This record gives sequence, C-alpha cells and structure tokens, in this order.
Amino acid sequence: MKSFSDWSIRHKLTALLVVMACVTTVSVIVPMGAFDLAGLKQSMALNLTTLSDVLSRNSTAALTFHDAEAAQDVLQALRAESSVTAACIYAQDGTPLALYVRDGSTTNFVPPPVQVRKATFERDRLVIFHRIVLDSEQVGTIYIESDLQELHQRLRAYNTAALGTALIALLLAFLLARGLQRPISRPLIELVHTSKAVSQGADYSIRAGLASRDEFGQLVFAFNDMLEQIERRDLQLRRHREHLEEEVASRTTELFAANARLKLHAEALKAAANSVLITDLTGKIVWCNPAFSVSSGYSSEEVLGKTPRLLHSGKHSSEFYRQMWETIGAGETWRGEIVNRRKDGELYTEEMTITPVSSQSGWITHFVAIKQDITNRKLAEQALSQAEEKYRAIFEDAVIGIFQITPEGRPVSINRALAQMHGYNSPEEFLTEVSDLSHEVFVDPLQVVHLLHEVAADGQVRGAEVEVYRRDRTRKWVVANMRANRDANGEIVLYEGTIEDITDRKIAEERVQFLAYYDALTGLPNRVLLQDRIGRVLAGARRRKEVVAVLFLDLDRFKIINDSLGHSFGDALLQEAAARLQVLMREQDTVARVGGDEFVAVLTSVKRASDAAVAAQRVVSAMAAEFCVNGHSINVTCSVGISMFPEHGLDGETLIKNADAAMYCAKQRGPNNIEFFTDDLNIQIMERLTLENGLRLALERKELFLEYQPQMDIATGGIVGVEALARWRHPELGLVPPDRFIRIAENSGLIVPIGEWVLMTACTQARKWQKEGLPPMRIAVNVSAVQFRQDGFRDLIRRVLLETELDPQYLELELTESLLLSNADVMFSVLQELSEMGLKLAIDDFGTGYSSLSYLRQFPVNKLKIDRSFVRDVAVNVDDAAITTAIIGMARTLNLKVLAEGVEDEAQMSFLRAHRCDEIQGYYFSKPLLADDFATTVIDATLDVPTRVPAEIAMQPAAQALLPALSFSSTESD
Amino acid sequence: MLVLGLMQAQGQAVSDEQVKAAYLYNFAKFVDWPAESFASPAAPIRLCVLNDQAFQSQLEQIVTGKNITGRPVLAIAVQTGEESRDCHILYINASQQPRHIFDLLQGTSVLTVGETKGFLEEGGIINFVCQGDQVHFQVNRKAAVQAGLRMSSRLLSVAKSVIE
Repeated sequence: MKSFSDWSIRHKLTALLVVMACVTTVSVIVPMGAFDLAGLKQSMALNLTTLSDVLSRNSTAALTFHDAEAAQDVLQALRAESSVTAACIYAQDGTPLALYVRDGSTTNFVPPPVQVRKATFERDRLVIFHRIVLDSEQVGTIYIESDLQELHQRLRAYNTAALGTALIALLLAFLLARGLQRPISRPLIELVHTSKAVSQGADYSIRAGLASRDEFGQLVFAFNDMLEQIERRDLQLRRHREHLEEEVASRTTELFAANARLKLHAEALKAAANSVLITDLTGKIVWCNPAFSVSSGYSSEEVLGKTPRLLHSGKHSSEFYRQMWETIGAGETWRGEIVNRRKDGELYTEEMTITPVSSQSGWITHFVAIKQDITNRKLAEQALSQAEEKYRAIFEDAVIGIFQITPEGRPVSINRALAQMHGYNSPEEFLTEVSDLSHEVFVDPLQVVHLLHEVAADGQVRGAEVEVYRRDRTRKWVVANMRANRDANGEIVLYEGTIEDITDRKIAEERVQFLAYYDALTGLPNRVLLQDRIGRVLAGARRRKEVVAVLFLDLDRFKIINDSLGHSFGDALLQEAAARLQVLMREQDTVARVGGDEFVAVLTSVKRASDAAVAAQRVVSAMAAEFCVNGHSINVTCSVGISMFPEHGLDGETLIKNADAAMYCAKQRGPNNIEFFTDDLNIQIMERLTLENGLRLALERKELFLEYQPQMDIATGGIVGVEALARWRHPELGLVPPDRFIRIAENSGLIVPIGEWVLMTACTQARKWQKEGLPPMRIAVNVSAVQFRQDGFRDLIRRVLLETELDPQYLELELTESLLLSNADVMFSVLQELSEMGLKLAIDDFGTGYSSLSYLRQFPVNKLKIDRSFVRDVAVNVDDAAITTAIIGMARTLNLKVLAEGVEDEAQMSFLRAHRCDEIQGYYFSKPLLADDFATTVIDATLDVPTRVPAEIAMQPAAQALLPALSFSSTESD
Repeated sequence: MLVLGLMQAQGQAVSDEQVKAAYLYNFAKFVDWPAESFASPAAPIRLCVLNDQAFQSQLEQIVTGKNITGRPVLAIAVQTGEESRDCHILYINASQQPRHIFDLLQGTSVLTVGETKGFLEEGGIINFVCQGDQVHFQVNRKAAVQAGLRMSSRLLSVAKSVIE
C-alpha cells in the first residue's frame, strides 16, 4: 500500500474532509451530553433539597410537641414522590421519631451526622440530611434518600442518539468530499501536463489553458507570463550587442578634446594667487601650484609624493584632523581655518577649502585643497575681539548703570548694575519685563521725551536728575548722563548713557530741608516754620477779622527731670509731650517746639478768649496724665500762657513774646496754671527787663554790697557766726529787694558772677576781721542752685579759700532743700568733697521744702536753719510751734545744729530757748549790718553785756520783720 | 424539646408540670398575636401563670434568656384576672375557676391555656389532656379567632383535637 504522501491529491482531499467531519461531530456531541447530565444532576439535588425544606417546616410542630403520629403523617406525603426511597425524622437527641420506606425498597438508617445539609450523590442514590429549625433553634434533623433511575434512563437515551448522529455525519461527509475535491485537483493536473510538453520540446510558445480566477488561475497566468518573458529576452540580447560597438567609436573622439581642456585648466591653476594642492586618495601630494610654494616656502619638487602633514604646526588636535578626513572621506567639501608651519618654521593661518574629486564611477580619487593666507586678517580680528571683550567687562562690571535705548525709548542693552538698581536680578530679566522706559520706569513720562529731545539737540545731557520706579514700584532718584549714537548719515541709532543711584543723597537733602523747618526730635515745626505759619495765619485773620490765640507751653521742672533721669529720658518725654499736643490740635492749628521744653500752639478760628482758655485747659489736662517713658512713670506739670491776636499784639513775634510772658506769670503761680497776657503783665515784664539790664551792669558799677547779720548762740549769748546778705542799690530805683533781684539773677544766669563776687567778698571780709583781731567766726554764704550746679563750683571754692587765706572751717555754705533733691547722686559727691575740705554746710529755709529730715541723714550737713515763717508765730500758733519743736528734736537726733531765723521778740526767744534751739538770727539780736558796723557791734558785744544789742533793736520791732526792704532803708539810715 | 432534653440528660425525672411549662413556651412559637398587643417591635412576650408559684418558677427556668422572633420571653406570676389582660399567654391550672377570668379577658388577645376538663367549652383556647404518660393538648380554634390570634396549621396538626 502507498503511504499517505504518495496518494493522489484527489484521495488526500476526500480523506481530509471526512476526518474533519468526524472530529467536528464528536467534539459537539460529547460536551453536550456531559452538560446535559450535569444539569440533570443539579436539578435532582435541588428537588431533593426543596423537598427536605418543605418536610422540615411541616414537621416542626410534631417535633416540638414530640408527636410521632404527626411526624409520620408528614412523611406519608412522600408517597407522591416516586424517586424517594426512604426518609426519617430524627428528634434533637438523634432518636428517630418517624420513618418512611418506599414499598419494595430497603435502607439502613444511620444516626444523623452533625451539621450536614447538602444533597450528596452516592454510588446508586442521592441522600440529604437537613436540619429542622424552629425560630432559629434546631429541633431535629430530616433524612431523605432518593434513587438515580431517572439519571440512568437519560444516559442510555443519550448514548443511542449520539451514535446514530455520528454515523449519518460520516456518510454525508464522504459523499460530499468526493464531489468537492474535483475543482481543486483538475487544474493542477492539467498544468502538469502542459509543463511536461514545454520541457520536452524547448518550445516557449506553448501556453496552458486558463480555467478559473482563483489561485490556480493565477498560477496558470504566471506560468504563461514567464514563458513570454523568456521569449522576449532572447530578442533583446541580440540588439544590445550591436549598439555597444557604435558607442566605443564615439568615446575615443571625445577623449582627445578633453585632454586639450585639461591642459588649459592646469595653466590657470599655476597662475592663481591662492595656493592649490592636489593629493591622491591616501593624501600624497600629486600636484601644487607656484602660489603654494610662495606661501609655504616648499618647492614643488620638495612636496611631491609627501603628505600635507609636512605643514603641521602642532596647533590643532588630532581630533581636528580626524574630523577633516571624515568630512572629505564622506565626499563632502571641508571648509575651515588652519594654522600651518612654513618651511622656515614660521606659523601662518590659512583659510582652506578641500574638495574631494570623484571618478565617473563615483569613487573618490583625489582631494583638491585651495588655500588663502589670512595671517594678517587674523591678527586684526584678534585685536578687535580683545578690545570688545575689554569693553564688555567694563560694561558688565561697572558699579554705575549703563544702558542703550532706542529712539522710541525701548531698552536694548543694560548692565547688571542698572538691573540691580531697579530691583531686577539680571539684565535679561529687566529687558524681558520692561519694554517702554517712559511709562514703566520714569515717574514722569514726559521727562524722558524731554531728555531725548535735549540729547538730540545738544548731542548729550549730563547730570539729569530723574525719579524712577523700581520693580516693586518704590521710587528712586538717579542721575543720568546720556549721549546720542549716530550712524554714518547722522541719524540717531541709539541713545546710550550711565545711571547713578542718588537716592541716599536725595534723602539727605530732604532731611536737611526738613531740619531747616522742623525739630528733629519731635518732628514738630521749629521756630522758623512757626514764624512763617503764624505770619500767614495772621494775614488771613486780619482779612477775615478773625481772632487768633497763641499758646505758650512750658513743662515745669523739666530741667531737673533731664538732669536727674538723663537726656534720653528727657528726649523721650518731649516726644511724648509733642505727640499729645498734636493729638489735641485741629488740622489748621500749628504746634511748634521753640525751645528745650517750650512749645507754641497757634489756634485759628478762635471766637473768644474763653475758647483759647478751654484749649489751654485741655493741653494742661493732657500733660497732667501720667507719662510712661522708658519704663518709668512720671507726672509732669506744665504752665501755659496765652496771647490773643489782635488784642495782645499784631505780629507773630510780639504774640509769642507776650504768651511767653503770660506763661512765666502762670509758672510763678504754681504748676498747671494758665495765664492770659495782660497789660499789667506787660508792665511787670518791662520792669523785669529794666532790672535785668540794670543787674548786668550792677557788678561793674559796684552797685552791689554785702550786709552781715550776726548769729547768736542761745546758750552763751555770744556771736558764733554771721550771714552775708547781698544788697543792690539801683541808681534810680534805690534798694531793690533781694528776693526780686536774686530771682532775676537766677533766671538770667547772672547769679553765677554775682554769687562768685559774694563768696569772694564775704570771705575776704571774714579774713579781714580776723586780721583786725575780731574773734574768728563762721561766715555763712548763700549758694544758689544754678551756681552750685556749675561744673567749676568746687574749683571756685578752692580758689576763694586760697586767695582769701580763710580757714575752710569758717566758711558755711547755705543751700536749699530743693537743691539737694534735684540730683541727689551728684549733689552727694559734691557735698562730700566740700565737707572733706572742712567747710560747713547748712540747709537754708528748712521746712518749706519737700524733704524729710531722715533724707538729710545721707548728706554731710552740719546745720539746719528753721524758716522764718515757722518762727514768726512760734509763740502763738500751735502748729508752727509743733513743727519747730519737731525740727529741733529731730536735728538733735541727727546730731545737727539748729538755727532759728527771723527771731524778733522775747516770746519767740523764750520758746526757742525752752526747746533748746542752738542758735538764733534775727532782729531780736541784731539786724543785718554793714561790715564796719558789724565789727563795732562785735567788739561791743564782746566787751559789754550781750543783752545790749537786742535792747537797741527793740525800738523797731514788727515792721522790720515783715518788710525786709524797709529794714534796709532803716539800715541805710543807720 | 431542647429544654426537656437537657433535663433528661441531667438525670431528672420529667414531670407533667415540666412538660406543660415547656409546651407553654413552645405555643408562643406557633401563635401570632395582633401587632397592637405589643408596645414595640422588641417588646417581650409575657407568659403569665395565675396563682401557681411552682409552675411559674418552672416556666421561669425554661424561658430565661430565650427569644422568640427577636422578642424576649418573660414568665410572670399574676394573681387576678385584671392583671392578666396584658398577658400574651395565661396559664390557668386546675385549681382556678376560669369562667370569671374569661369574662375579664373579653376583647383581649390572651391565649388562655388550661388543664381542666371543659376548659375549652367555657371559652379557653388550649387545654392540656394527659393520656398515660403523654401530655397532649386540645385547641378551641373559634376562641382563638375571636381573640384575634392566628395559630399555625402546624400547631393545629399536632393538637389532639380541634374545636372549630
């Protein structure tokens, strides 16, 4: 038998179709049968489960009430189910309650397993154990068993049907295949016959018959086509051979003509100015022109057969040459600059073009290099680039801003300094964000137009001050220098220039401007601006017939605060005071600081004087509130003087002066007072001025003199000291009361020279008395606070003592309480030093000040002088007596001497003696005396009984005590 | 059943009273009361015993911790008919006079359970009868319908007799 591969194609196709039909039939029938059986099994199991569910439900009551009969009834229902062979209901404890067995069946009942529910196929039956549940509590189990007869029947029927179907399918497949293979096999067989005919006869004109349009048809068509091509090529080959013979003849003629042209080209190359070098494919030089010999120094004979490596300068990397070869090797032209070395060793730069030359077949055969010596041009370029580099460095690194802008105002290039000046990180950032200078940078857009015009006209602008915006829209002042950059036709191409930041200078200028008109500390207008403002206000008020008030405010005791708490504290206090004043004022009002602690407020639109008084009162109240400055709390009082326009003056200066006078008057009356200017005040001021002017001359005119009032020791009745009292006899006004001229002297500063004179005169006098033989005694001299605070005060004392040769123990300085308090630390050190020098220190007018006695303990004081105001009524007023007694008592405990001032009669004297006061001073003992009189009195007193002096003075009792001025007149009359 | 099973397992003799108490509890599983007889969906089922302390404590042991359809079950001792009106099941033992109580329970849905001959005829709903050592029960279906109670057919199928 033949193997399958040898079979005819007809049989092969038939067998193939029959086998495929068989496979298809089987692969459909078998899964369908399996699927059908599985479905049947599933539905049987489901049936049984449903049945057990129904029975379970029906048997719950029977189980609950243990009714076997009822349970049996339930199972009897199974008779209707032919497949069920047996069933059983088990009670919860596993005992069967009811049984059912189909007639003719046998079964073994087994006790129910725990937790079985699913229907299970066993070998020949289907069984189920089902829990019987009542209200989620298991009350029993049901068991049902069913046979598989239905399943077996179905399986048999299926097998029979499948076999039948398969046989029919086989038969049909065979019959169909026999018919169907025919259209496929027939054309093939025909083609085989045709090809056999061609090969046997070598006859290419035979063609196969066309059968169909399918692949066999195409095969036949291709076979015929192939035969036709072979036939045609035979013919063509013959024609080609004839044509080639003609071609060879014509080419030979052309070659002669080309040789003639080449000769002409070679002559041209020899004459060319540029070097020309030709190498073969390997780089060997095959030809060079005379220009090459000139630039390289090598003759034609020297280089032929060599490579251009001969010229290598060593200035280029091997990579450079590699790339060059790569380019020309790929058939492309290489262009570039190259540094070569002449025969004499000198370097020269050439611009070179190397072109590959290819043969007609496309293969490169030669390279042609054309070179030009550009050494000189190269040097010039280098110099230019260096210059540019230098300029760029200057441009980039300059600290001033440099810019170029178009005539339209668009920035073209700027340097880093300019960008930073405007708040940009880099010039690029600036150029990206700013396109129009006039609107985006210049605060005044018109200014840039103006500036550009000016540059166009004059060629340049220098030092133009311009305000510009920075990137964050803050403003900045710069100074700009600009010039125009023109092209050959004189048209302006660019504007360029420099920018310098002058914001700091501008600020300084503004500051200077500010300081000229404003007080630096408080920011208030100063006196200059005040004058200006007041002038305008008065002009307006004059036109509108309005009233203006000028308030002059002075902080009380500010100097003491400043001295004791420090200047920074004082400054802060003034700032706070200024702030409070500003809050009080309306917009049209002006507040100015005109002196250390002096402020002036100008109030417009005031209707009446009382309005001004109300405003002043508000100022006083505002200042009365506690100041909290640098962590300190302090209470400050102030005094306010008011002058009104036009009543008290027609110009600013007068109004301020008069308000000042009123303020002075208010201050006299005590803290927190307000005073209007009055004509009386004016008179007082005039008088004060007269006195002040007179006092200035008093020293040189020798109008001042001293009187001396003795101090008596109560216990001994002897003179123990003397107080020097300053007197002034005015040429027109006569004797001026000391309290008046001393105050003027203190306010005007004249107290310093006057005090010095008093000290010097008193000490000189004391020493003179000693020399004259009078018993030595203390000379008491009053020292003013102003005088005491002078830096040179201690030196003054030393000088006086040295010049007068007075023993320090005989000099007693009388100080006031307030002086001690003003700057306790400094005072203490000064007093300590004076005390160490041997001087005596007494507190004058004791009791009128603020200090407690215990406070004095700290100071090296020797004596207290009880103020005359206490002594006057000591014999009649209980309060004064008590104070006096207390002072004496406490001074004793502090180990201080006590002196009573202003003792005028016996009653006072007895009281003081009774309370053991140490010393007295007053008319009772002696009025103040001129130096000569004093000497006489002392001599008399030491010679005679001490009681003589009082007897003499008793002639003029009360009047002398009350009016010291009068007593001077009487002294004068002595 | 479970309860009785447990008792037997513990070796105790099961008395008729214990069986009746267990049945009383089981009745509740097969009877539906009208919705209005419960205060809420979780309100307890009240099993009452009239004047029988011993039976009540038996019942108590059985029902403690039990739930029927989500409702807790309570064993309650009552003394009078008036108290019984709130009950769901009322057990009236042989020593009580039921007629008077039935009058008081008119219009309520109390399942009355007795153990007396003629209990159903007088208007009771379920009555226990003993045959040998078996406890059975009879049902008066008419009385149950009148009281608005719905009894499961499964319960009726295990009753010894049903009066229509």
